[in-house]
Amino acid sequence: MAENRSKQESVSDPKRRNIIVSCFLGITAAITARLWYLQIIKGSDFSVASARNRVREITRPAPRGLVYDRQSRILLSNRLFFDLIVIPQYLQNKGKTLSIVSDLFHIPVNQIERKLVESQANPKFVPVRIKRNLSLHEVATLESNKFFLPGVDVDSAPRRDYLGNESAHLFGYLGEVTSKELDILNSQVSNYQYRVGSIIGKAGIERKYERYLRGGEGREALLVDALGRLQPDSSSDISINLSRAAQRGNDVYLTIDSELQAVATEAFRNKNGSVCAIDPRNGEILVYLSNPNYKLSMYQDGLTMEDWQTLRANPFKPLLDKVTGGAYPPGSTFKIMVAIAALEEGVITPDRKYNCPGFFVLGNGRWKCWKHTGHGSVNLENALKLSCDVFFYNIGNLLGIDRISKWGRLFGLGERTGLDLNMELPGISPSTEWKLRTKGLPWLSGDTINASIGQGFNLCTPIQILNAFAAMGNGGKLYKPHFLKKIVDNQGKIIFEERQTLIREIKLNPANIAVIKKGLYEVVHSAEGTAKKARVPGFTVSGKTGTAQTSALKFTKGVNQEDIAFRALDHAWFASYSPSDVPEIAVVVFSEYDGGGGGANAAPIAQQIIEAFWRKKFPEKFVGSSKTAMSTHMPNGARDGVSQDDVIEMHDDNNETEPVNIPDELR
Amino acid sequence: MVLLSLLRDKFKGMPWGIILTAYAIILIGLYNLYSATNATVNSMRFYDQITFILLGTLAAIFWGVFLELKSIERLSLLGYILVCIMLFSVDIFGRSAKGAERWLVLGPIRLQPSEFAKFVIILMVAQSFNMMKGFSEFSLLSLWRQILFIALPFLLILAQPDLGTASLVLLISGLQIATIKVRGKSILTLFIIVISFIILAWNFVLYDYQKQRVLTFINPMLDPRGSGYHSIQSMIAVGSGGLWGQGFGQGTQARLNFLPERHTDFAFSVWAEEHGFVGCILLIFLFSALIIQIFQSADRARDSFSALVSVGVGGFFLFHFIINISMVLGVFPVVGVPLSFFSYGGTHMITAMSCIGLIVAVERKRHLSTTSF
Repeated sequence: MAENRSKQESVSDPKRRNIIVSCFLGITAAITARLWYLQIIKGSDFSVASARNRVREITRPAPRGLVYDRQSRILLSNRLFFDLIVIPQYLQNKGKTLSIVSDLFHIPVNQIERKLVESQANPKFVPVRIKRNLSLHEVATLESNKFFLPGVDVDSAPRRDYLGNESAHLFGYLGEVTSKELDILNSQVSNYQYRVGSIIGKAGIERKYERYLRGGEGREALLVDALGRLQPDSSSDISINLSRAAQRGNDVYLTIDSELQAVATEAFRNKNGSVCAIDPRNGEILVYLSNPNYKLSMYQDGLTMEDWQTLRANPFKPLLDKVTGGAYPPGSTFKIMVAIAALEEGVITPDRKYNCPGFFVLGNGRWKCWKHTGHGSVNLENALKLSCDVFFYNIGNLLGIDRISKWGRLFGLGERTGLDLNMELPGISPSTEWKLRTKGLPWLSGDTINASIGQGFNLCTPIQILNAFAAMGNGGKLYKPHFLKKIVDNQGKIIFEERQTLIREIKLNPANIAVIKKGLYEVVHSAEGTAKKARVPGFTVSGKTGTAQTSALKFTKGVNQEDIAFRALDHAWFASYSPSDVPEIAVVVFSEYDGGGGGANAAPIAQQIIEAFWRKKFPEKFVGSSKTAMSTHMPNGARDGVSQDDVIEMHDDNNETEPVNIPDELR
Repeated sequence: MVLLSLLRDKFKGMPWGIILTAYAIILIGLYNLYSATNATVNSMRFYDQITFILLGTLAAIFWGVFLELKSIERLSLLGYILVCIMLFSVDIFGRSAKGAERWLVLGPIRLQPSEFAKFVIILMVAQSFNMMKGFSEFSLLSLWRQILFIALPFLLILAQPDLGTASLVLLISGLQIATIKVRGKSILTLFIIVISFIILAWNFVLYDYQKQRVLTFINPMLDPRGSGYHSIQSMIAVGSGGLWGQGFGQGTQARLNFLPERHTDFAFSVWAEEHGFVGCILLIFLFSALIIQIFQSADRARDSFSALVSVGVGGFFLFHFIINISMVLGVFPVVGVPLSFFSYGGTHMITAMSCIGLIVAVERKRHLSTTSF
């Protein structure tokens, strides 16, 4: 009774309450459905999203592959380098800590702070590199002060250890990938993509074999919180799935002979230019050297602006690889091309003699022989031996430039050897067509006269001269020069083995080759030869000297007039092979702006390399004094009874160059 | 002995079902908070919450056991005036928290008077109908008292500005009025007024950050690092829980700080991440049980005041539950609405426990009135 009364009194309507409760239950059902959707249907998607939130990947650079020489001696290695790092997550009392670091390592505070600001976008646990390549003393200093420096630490990373190797152009420097390179490189690799900051080979074999040497960077998955701070239990389950160890790159075995390379480096120390040696039997490069050099480690330590300016300002162009990247007038070394062309084209017979009165006249022009008094009547063999210019003026004139050019091209001049290193130049093997195309001028007969002694428009890279001499020495087989012996992966499996590549076999009359080879032998072994300094007791050496006039460059477009001072000096060439009959080594020495002749300045360097080559192969022949060794190996038993003073002293340079440049060809 | 029998007398008619459900949620909430606040490292908040629960229990006992419903009815106007003064003082010299002045600092105690407003408005609306006995149907105009009573705290809270709490005050009291026999025409009128009010509010009242919250609610992916961040991180946390959850203390979203406000407004995300769908269903069941029991209490009530208080308390839990869960599940804008008994926070805990105390008082009164005869 009372219950009914009170219910009537209530203004709150039970029906409406029921509607409200029904609505509530409906919404609850919808919420449950939503939970089902999020947790059951989309659960795995959100798990991935959650993992992406908390897992950060960091990469560990891979050690690059090692580089060995032909005897499997290590040329380039890796070693741990120590960097000073600051980890923002652990940094405490920032101002004080940084000022202590600044005092200890002599780095301005604002420089440290700038680096910290630059990397603010990174998660807090990512170390900021403050100073690279700490000395052991600096590492010890930091370790002993570490207690006072929370967040400051030493990080180690594998980097190139150059082991004192100085051949910067051969090995090439390393550097950070540029954005342009990044696209190109990443289109070539399938895994281990390059990223900003990746270190790549920028030159030399580091660049050429980059894809073998680079290795695979390691990856570490780390657990971080929302602020990017590293969590202590990072090493647990997530890391196992996503982490991988860094993989060392593949090892590259070169054909370079490090002992000969060292001999060449020592012998060529204070000269500019290049030295290269090849095995004429297969095209394996034994020595590869360009001077002036630069320190490879300088790039790795971080090239400063001053270093860069110094390198750029050096007039001798330390950054230029003068083996492949520089083309120079070949001088008298080119005479073998004219000689073989004349013989093969049948222009002359081996016995044809020309009289050398010391000059050559064609039309209004008058070209001097380097020996102003003249050589008298000379045949081809003697002309090579004496480097008589007039003889070659004559046969060059008979041949015409196109036939000279044809034979030069057969021997690889005017085209890249295919070494593909350091922006190899093709050089110039001039022809009438070439002059018309590039200069828009007709070929003059005087041009041929200049060209026939390797002057004028001729430009060759030392590697081209080397390869041409190797081909001449082995009877006409032009091999593609190469560095690579094999590439071995880090399990020791050979993944690539280089084979010799024959560019072409030049069809030559063996009798003609014999004449030229005899002449080249005489250059070294005859009493009148221009390269007596190249003799190696007990072994035969053939070669050709060359002294390229560079004063012509004065009139060449694009040459800085301020550089004339040293550019007016001659280039000294010496191209050689040994032994004379079936050569096992060919050596070219190119001494830039040497000022002296090839016989005096370049030949002794080649001699040291050849001697070192034989000393290695037949150490028993060098027991005791090398002077006593008998020249038993020689085919015609030439004796070296000639005094050490030679034709170089007779050099009488004619610096008053006529409008039609008449180069004085020397020695 | 006398005290004991007195106590036994006092405990007669206690709504044990409601109390047990409430404490079940509280204990789960406490358990969850231990993980959400990473209490193994810093347990300060965990112990704070235990203190709040004890204080809340005292408040519930105060309202439910020590006071009769009659005295509560008499005190409600006084309480209402007191809370309005507190709200007013917050507007003038409140302590700022995330762009909104919600705190009133009294020495060591920091209060959120807007929470108390939810409590007093329940009483005030219920009490206001005492003066209107004899009405069988209500027009909108006849509800002018209620509208005034609601409008004052609503505007004061909106001025803090705290849209979430202000809306809750409106919703809770609105639900109370919705159970009154109001004319259909009046409801239509109210509907039009509300719609126009929303449009006006959008253009003139809402702050940019509030508008932003509503906009990113429509598409949280618009701004995943900014205003959508809360929604997305919460959905990731809930979703990655899966069926069984990642286990207690294993929720990486919560533990690694990806989840913002994880011990307060997003405590349910932590629970969902660590205990999965199963854990969520348990919690939803408990909340539904609590709310339905409270509405059943309204059905049993003998007088308007009791019924309206029960409806108000039911609305209190209902709206907090629905809005908070919807927000956590990414289907509602991120507004600062805690999940009762589950989220960390002293004022809300005391208010929610006081509401339970009101139900106890209602039930005890009914019990006394039925047994006295």
